[in-house]
Amino acid sequence: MKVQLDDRILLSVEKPARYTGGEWNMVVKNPEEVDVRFAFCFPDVYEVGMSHLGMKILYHVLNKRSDTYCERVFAPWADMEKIMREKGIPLFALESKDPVTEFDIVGFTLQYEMSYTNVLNMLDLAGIPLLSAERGENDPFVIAGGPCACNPEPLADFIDFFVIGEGEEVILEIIDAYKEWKKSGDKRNGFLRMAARIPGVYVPAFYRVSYNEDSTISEIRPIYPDIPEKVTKRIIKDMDAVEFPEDIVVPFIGTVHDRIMLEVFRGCIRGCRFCQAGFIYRPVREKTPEVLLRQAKGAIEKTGYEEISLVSLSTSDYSCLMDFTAELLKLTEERKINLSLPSLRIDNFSIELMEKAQKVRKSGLTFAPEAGTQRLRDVINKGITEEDIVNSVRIAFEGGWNSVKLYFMVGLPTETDEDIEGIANLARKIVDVYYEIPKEKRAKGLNVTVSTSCFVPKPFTPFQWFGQDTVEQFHNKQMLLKEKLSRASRAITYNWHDARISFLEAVFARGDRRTGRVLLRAWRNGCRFDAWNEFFRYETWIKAFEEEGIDPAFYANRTRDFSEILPWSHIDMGISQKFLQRECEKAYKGIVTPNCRMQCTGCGINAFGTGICSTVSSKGGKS
Amino acid sequence: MKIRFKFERGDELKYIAHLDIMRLFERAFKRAEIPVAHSQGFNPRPHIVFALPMALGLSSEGEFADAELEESYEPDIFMERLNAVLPAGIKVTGAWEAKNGKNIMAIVEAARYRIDFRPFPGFDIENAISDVLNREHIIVMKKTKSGEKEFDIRPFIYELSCEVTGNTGHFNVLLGAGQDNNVRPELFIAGVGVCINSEIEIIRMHRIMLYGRADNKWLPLSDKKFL
Repeated sequence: MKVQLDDRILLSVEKPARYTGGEWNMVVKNPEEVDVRFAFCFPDVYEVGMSHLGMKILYHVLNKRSDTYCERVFAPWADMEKIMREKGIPLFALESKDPVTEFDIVGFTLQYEMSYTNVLNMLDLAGIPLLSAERGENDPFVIAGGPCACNPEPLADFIDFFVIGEGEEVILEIIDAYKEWKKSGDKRNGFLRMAARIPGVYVPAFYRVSYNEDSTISEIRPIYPDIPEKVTKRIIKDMDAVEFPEDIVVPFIGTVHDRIMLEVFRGCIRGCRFCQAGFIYRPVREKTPEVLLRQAKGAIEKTGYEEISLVSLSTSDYSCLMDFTAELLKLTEERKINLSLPSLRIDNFSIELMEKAQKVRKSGLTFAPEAGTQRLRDVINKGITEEDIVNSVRIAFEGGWNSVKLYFMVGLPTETDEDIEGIANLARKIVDVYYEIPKEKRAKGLNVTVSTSCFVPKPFTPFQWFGQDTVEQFHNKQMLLKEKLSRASRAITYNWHDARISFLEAVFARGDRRTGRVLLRAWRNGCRFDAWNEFFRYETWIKAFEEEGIDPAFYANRTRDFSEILPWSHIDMGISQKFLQRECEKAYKGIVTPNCRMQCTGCGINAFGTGICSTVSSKGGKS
Repeated sequence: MKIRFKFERGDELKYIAHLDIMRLFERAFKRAEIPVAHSQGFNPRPHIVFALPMALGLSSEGEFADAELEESYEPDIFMERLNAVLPAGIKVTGAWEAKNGKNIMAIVEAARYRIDFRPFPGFDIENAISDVLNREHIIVMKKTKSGEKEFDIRPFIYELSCEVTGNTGHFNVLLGAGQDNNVRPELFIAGVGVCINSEIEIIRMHRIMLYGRADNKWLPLSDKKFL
């Protein structure tokens, strides 16, 4: 039964096109003519979800199969949720408007911890039992993947199974297994047993977690002999050969990233020690320029988009960047299309490239020194020096830019007040660089924005054992920096992140199964859209921890021993524990680690035998 | 060349704003590989001008826009190519070469609407119509950039008829439109409310046609007088 949304509903909510679908390139199939219906759920509002490349990729990969229909589902905004609850309208998919309960598989992507209450809220709106254990033979299977799935434990009670790593291939294996299971007429549990045999699939119900008296984990153990002790992530070996969507859905309303996103490579050579993406997406696997140009051309023709953006963790590290961008610019200039180049390191080449690529105002340029002193930048292995930053900024100012944004983190391991003052000093130096440039050569009106986020230690990084600063410590550091910056220059604006959100992020990033109870409680008490300031209710969260008798500081602020069994120790992201420990010890000594292109440092990912690992030896250089 | 095209937007696409419609056409022109001339300057914009903005919630069968093209196209071929790349709910239904240099936004002076409403018990069509047409002034509050302002809509109600079928009433009304004296259908309904001293609940609003004024007549924007 399709959900009916009439004018009286749609004209009373903000941005009704969030709920109506029908966009260009939306896939239309007859649900009755497919074997498997897949509801791809993004636990945030339409404009955010439609900006996510992973969803576009899997939508394409699944819908290429004639036996499967993948549809999109987003979290309704609060105004729509209210109406849906009042009128008993269940959560529905945009393509067919059919309720999510009519689907075979309901898949969530987990992009950030603060979207977890939205996962619960969407299941509830759909009318699917929240707890995996309470689902019956007629309920869909609820699965989840994405970067946060590398520590799946906080959601272990709610998700039937997780998919660890990159999804393009494993999702097809899951569909095949599902069809086989459906044909067999076996019980629900039978499919879970089948799924658990697929590499990269983690069925939490098949693992028992035991605890020590001090509340740390004593053991994580599979309950059947055929269940793997460790679930290893999946990766795509050949990025040129894997499916990439050109016929992406073109939204009617503006979205956060409303452009073609061309993925240039996966992984990152850098190994910044705070950065989870830099470890879990290893190894670096590039696409060739020929493939990228073909995909760019295809996407431009099939979407009509006016902008294309290069997507990777560090575009400057693409080995064919110069030649590739020269060719790409030919394509975009001819068609009056903007080329946007995020995450470029600022140097002469990139400034020149940006001038060619974008006819936009020379406003914000973004730099991410991450830490205020060289000592601390060495601790986090951020391989840039103050000289690099100052030179880049000078190039930018000489090139006519007058506004720079500087991103830092506070609360990094080993940080002292000196490092906080270092942020102010660096900002001051950047102001000085501007005034060193002759008046007639610089753009008027300098604006330096310093933004600090609060460091959240993440699994599978060298800082996964680190106890996060408390909210109070963060606050003190923010106030210290505010004071130093206000003295440094009037051209500097300071923004800082709400430490309370980062605290909760730290809890759920490294939480174990028991923290799921807090999620459920907080959701019941009204928490959702926690990543949105207007909805974030810190007191409700703290109350949920109290009501469940769970101490958030145990997860966020406690420094773990290297010997502790971490909640995600049965998940294998290809990065060895030994390597992370070694990196952690080097961090505290302030010793930097060379990037993957310079030398292999033995993180363990070479076991996958692909990407950059097959060209760089442990002695350094190319083999 | 400048080409004028007429299009309709169905119920599927009435939930997007005017800016979204503009972007939708810009992207459709790119997909159709119909090269549109761009404005000069810092941030070149494609030269597609819409006759009258469409409010969210309004469907229409009589919208017009002008596009400045870098190449010549047969209007029929233009229409066919564009329709091949438009999403369901929006369709080009006519195209003409426009040699008249006048900005299309300045040509529009009236718009015909069909407004469906829920008649209250005792609603009398004859009375309502004569109530409206016999008045010299109908003052409603119009939102402007600087706040609310009194606005007399009576001079800009050019034609009015009404019928009731079942439990739905339908106004068919020709209202002032364009850069000056634009009467949105909601304002008209508010005005009727003032006349009959009762609020009217709108069910749906649909635009039928946009007109210009020539030879003392209301003529569609596709009339050769305006091309």
